[in-house]
Amino acid sequence: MKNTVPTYRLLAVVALAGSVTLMGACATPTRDIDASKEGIKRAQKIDVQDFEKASAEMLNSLYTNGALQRAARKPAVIGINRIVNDTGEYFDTDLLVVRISEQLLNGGQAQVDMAWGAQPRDANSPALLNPAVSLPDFTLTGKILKNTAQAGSMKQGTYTFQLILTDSRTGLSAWIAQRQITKQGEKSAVGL
Amino acid sequence: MKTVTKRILPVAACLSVLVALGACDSINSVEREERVNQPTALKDKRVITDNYLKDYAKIISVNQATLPGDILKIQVVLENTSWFDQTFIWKFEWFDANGMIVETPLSTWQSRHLEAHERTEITTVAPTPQCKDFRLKLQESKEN
Repeated sequence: MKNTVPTYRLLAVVALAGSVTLMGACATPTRDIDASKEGIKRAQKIDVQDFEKASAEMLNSLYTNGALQRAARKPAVIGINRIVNDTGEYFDTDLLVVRISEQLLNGGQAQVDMAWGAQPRDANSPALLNPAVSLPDFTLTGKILKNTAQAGSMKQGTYTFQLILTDSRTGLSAWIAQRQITKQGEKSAVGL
Repeated sequence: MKTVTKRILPVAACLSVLVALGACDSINSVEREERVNQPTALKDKRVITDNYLKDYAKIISVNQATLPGDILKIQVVLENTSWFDQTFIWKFEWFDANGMIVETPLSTWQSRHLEAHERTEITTVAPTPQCKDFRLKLQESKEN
């Protein structure tokens, strides 16, 4: 008498093994993505893509305005002042400011003082001894605001980015930009 | 019974197509008959790999202007020539005099929604005065 495995048991084992293999193949492996194109979007939360879009549009507007070219110094010196997060969400406003500063500095359009107005300077520092040299041509201030709305299960979030470039010598605004990003959806989505 | 069904089905199909077409928003517009502005149009080279996208994000013209500081500004005029509203994503890339790509926060994917037969402009500025060449990438959005 032969000691064979019943066919149904063999089939069950093969089916199980196949399922496990398929499940493993279907799982999405972790990969690097371009966040501006494939990042996860949430209707009522600010995302990295929002900062990327806002900074690109702000830079576009600033370059088109030509304020930096009207400064006495070339490249102009910009002191970064307070950028207020008034959304009620926790995030670092440097996500916006550093992207803009990076482009201005690396593109040779401006020199940037990231610590302007952030902390009192040493009374003996060269900057305070010769304010005419240390005073930036412009100061940059700004605010990020949030408005939400909901209708049934549909959620909507509007983020308003406001930036103001002020001429340090006259105190007048040299450039003002406001950009709104409105997102609507029932649940989070991936990609643009 | 079968005959009735055969007659009703095509009518229902036609009606549903009409309803679907009617549901698409489109844009009416008006402008000066003879434009005052005279944009500087560029000769462009196009690489089309998605014919569907070509229809709803059809490139009408590419214009350029020079901003203070010798910075190039590019404006691409696009039109959705299809009967349906569509969304596409776009991104500009910039190159220096040696043909090397310039990494910049200005190069980021952004989306644009167009109603049926709507015309729009997308603009960008060069990250540095040294950037004179660009490439615009267009792709179908996952929202469609």
